[in-house]
Amino acid sequence: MEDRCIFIADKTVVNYLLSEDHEEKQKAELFLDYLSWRRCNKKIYITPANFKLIKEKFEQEDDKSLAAYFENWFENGIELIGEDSTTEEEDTRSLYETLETISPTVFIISDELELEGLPVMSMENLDTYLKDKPDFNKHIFLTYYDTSGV
Amino acid sequence: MENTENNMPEEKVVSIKIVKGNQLSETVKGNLGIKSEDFAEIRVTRNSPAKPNVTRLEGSPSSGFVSAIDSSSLRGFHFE
Repeated sequence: MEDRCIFIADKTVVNYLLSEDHEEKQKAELFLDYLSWRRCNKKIYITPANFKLIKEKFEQEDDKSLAAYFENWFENGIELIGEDSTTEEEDTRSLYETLETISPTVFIISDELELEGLPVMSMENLDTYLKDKPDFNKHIFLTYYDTSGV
Repeated sequence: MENTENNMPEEKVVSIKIVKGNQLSETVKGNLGIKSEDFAEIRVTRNSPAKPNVTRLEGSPSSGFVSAIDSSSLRGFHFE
């Protein structure tokens, strides 16, 4: 079931990635590593307004690689819900309701949004959720920490 | 970028795709020594024509993104 899980995020994940706080940065990195490990969880859906805001900021930097990395992990919800014309809460709810029709599990990742009746997961709870997955933890240990084969 | 030395336009990154080794072709894996369980980065740059460059990732899949942030002026930036 978890393989078909879909994530929606606001700006929280990107803010954690950009953070100077080591723990916040690690939480975001672990999430991206999880998305790469689980191939069908590859992308995080994000509202069109947030996608545009973040991409434009990233595009102002260097050789555009930041924006390209961003697009590797984040999917613009514009193809699902069209141009943003309402509030972030309403667009997030529209994305959730649309994605819920194709996936048994959809999570919204945010430290700020409050959407009544929808499963909004904080970064702290997401971190706990990911660390509770034995297969993923085994992968992290074998890939980055296990030195027995060296 | 090396092309700027020849007064060529600077290469721009068009796309970056992080994949597992098992998603790469056998030719690329064999030529670059990438194992199925490795992670690799496919970076397409455009001067003209567009050109893909595949590299094996030494760190975690997100390590390139994190390095790009560290090299930018955005470390510590907060989207409101």
